[in-house]
Amino acid sequence: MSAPTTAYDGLRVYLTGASVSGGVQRDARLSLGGYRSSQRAGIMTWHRYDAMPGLVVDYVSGTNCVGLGFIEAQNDDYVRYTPPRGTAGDWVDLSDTETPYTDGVVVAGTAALHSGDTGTFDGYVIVRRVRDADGNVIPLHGVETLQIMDTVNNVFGMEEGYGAYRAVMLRNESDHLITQVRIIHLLGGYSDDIRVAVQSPYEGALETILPGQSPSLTFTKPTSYMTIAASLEPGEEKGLWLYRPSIKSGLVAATPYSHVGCKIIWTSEEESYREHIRGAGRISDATLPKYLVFVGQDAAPDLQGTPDYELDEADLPYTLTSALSADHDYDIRIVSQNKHGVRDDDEGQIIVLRLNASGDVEEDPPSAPYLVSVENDADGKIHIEAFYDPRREGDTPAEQLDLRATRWALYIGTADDMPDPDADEPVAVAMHHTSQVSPERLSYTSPSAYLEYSTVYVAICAQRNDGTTEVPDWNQSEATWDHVEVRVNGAGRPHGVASFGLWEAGVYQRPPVIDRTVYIDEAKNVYWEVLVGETRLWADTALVWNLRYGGVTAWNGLFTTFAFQEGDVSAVQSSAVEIGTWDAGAKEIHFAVNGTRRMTVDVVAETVTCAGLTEMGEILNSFSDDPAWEIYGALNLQVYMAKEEQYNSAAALGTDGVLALGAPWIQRLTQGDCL
Amino acid sequence: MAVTITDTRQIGPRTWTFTWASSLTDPMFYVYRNGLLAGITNHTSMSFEVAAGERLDIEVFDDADAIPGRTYPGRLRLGWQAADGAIAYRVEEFVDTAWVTRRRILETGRGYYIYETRWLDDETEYNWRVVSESAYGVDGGTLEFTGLMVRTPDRAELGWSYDSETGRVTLSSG
Repeated sequence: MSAPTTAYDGLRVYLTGASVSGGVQRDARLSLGGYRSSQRAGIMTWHRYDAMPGLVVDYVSGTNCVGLGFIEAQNDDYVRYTPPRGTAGDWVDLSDTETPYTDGVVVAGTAALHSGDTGTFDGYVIVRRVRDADGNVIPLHGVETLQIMDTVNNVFGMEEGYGAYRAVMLRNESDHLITQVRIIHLLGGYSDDIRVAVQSPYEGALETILPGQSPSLTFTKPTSYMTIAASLEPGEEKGLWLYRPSIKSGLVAATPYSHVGCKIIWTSEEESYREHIRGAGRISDATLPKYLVFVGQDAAPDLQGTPDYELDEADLPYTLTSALSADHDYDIRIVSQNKHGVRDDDEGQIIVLRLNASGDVEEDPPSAPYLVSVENDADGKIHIEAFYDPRREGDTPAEQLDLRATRWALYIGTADDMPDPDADEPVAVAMHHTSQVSPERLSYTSPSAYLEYSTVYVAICAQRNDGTTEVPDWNQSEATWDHVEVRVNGAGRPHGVASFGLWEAGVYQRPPVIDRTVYIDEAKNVYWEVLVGETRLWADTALVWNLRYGGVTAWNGLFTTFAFQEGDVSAVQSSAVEIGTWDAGAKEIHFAVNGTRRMTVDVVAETVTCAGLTEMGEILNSFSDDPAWEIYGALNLQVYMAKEEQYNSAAALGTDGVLALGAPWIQRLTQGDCL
Repeated sequence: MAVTITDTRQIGPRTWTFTWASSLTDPMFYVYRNGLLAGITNHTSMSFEVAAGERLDIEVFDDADAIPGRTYPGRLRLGWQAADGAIAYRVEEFVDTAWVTRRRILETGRGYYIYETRWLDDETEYNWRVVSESAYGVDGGTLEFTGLMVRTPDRAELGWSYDSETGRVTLSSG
């Protein structure tokens, strides 16, 4: 066991600026000479994870460098330490009745810098045991992790606006003579932006400066070993001044972290020891432009390259000097940048312009068709179904009407002659309700037959005429694809019968019913609206959610304006869905599984509360047409899929109160965006 | 030794689930959120909540020695060790002219406590402190944190217009 103030911890570095030697002064910005503070100069910052009860970490040495260190315990009283990238040291017995509880114990392992120096050396922590509130010993067990980081704006990194000089005091805290105290700059990976000067205290105090002033000393760049003290008697102190030119004059480029580091080495009882003093400062540049503009022609621009324009807020409005060329697509990015040179450069603000041959901006194409299905029809023909929703084209009905598609474009081919929506001439089919914004449905049967067993591929687009009636310019959506293997005697949905007995009484086989309303509470007008591919839950005029499933990926989702709220819901509830409080303060719809309430929707607060959300492992086909189908252990929220002619459980509430989703939760700002 | 993020999925309004895989057999994963350790686990997925405007940088390693890349997050993580005689800790933020309590955390014998601040503004100095409370209702020691928040700036939201006559784009205040 190694007690503090011996060995590694025999030479300590303290802040200055106290009014008396050993007085309280904790501010690194005020460590400007004078007397030694009682406060050690903080070098590393550390966070503890799975912290060991009964143990306190008082100090982490700079020799640890950055990374993860591990403290392990065994047999209630023993700990050992593994520094980042290092190897574990010896087990240390902390069963001593006094020292581990009062002064703490040094626990070391073999450390290694991830950059900046060579060889290995000891990284250590000082740990201290504490008793519980009743004064009992807390047995030590488990493993805890320390994330060790450099400290920004500590006495070594310094801080802009508070001067570029600091003074620390080195003190021999051990009972032995310390010799050969020397300092050198840490190699590689660290800014060499540090100068040092040694000063012996006079009657216990160093020269004192004010922020922004410099001491009357000559500073040296410690690129080779520089002696701080040939020897230090126990209790003897020596002042070390530090100076960072870039903090003073901004000599280097703006950066949020400018690291500096030196190592101090010394000898005690013929053993050599070291500590790394290190930190980081921020360097700003008020002249950095706030916005960087990158222009890409027919391609995304390189946001790491040289910007095409640089401007500040004061330059707005700002016209980009280069004119854009007709018949090209432009991807313009605006990247914001702060005074420390940090940029929002993963994407930036995006402006996309598609210029036609006249140099005018083309409108975005219509949205793609959804719920596309291609199936066999009679005699080798194929039948195509698809939907298109003009309400996706804009925020207002007028905008939606203006930008809606007006015809279908069908591209049909085979594996040997794949359709190409960008090159082929489509089969055009007019949409029906072009003066409205209600959804369109395509029901199309090919006029000719295809060879049996051939695979027919279909790409369906929605088109809008951006030209004139006389000279049309069809702006086409992305294509939605499907295919079918042709069967002259097509196999479709199975058909069968059931009977109650040997004869006479057959069971009526009910066809699946869609496009219907299922009331939860008719008086309060709370109901399910069941449509093809989507089931909507309405509370009068408020849409709680629209659960879509069975279409293309972009179609699927639980679309809602309501906020998910994690919380335990529990109460006895006999029916799967029931209405709770219903007044101006709260309008509740409760959902239960196996007789216990597990989820609550509050229409007033616009919240959905349950224990959690998760991804559904398997989507179940269902024999029930109930939009909320209760089975043992789950309440399935169902959606009708046209292609399979049956319902599927697109979401399920479990007995644990977790709502499993077969499609992602999609948060929308407005109700219209969910439809 | 390589970890690949295989799936990133939004599972709630503010929640994303990350799934990953490793080339190693049954490794331990070290998961970092915005450069800070978020967990050590042998599971291959984890969910994270974000605040409005917050960006999420997730890095996963199967090597304890790996160091996460540099990120510029907009939260401060406050950590403190248990104080003798404390029954609770009050986390406060200095706003305008007064300290405002953001959270009161009970002392539960855990030994070490962590608090993540709200999403903070870029290029702004903040003062936070943790005040220990005794069983007698007396405030004990105070631990203060002062930090200039330097984070990835907010996305630009400039207005713009295009003049088809001149072929030029004009940017304006958003």
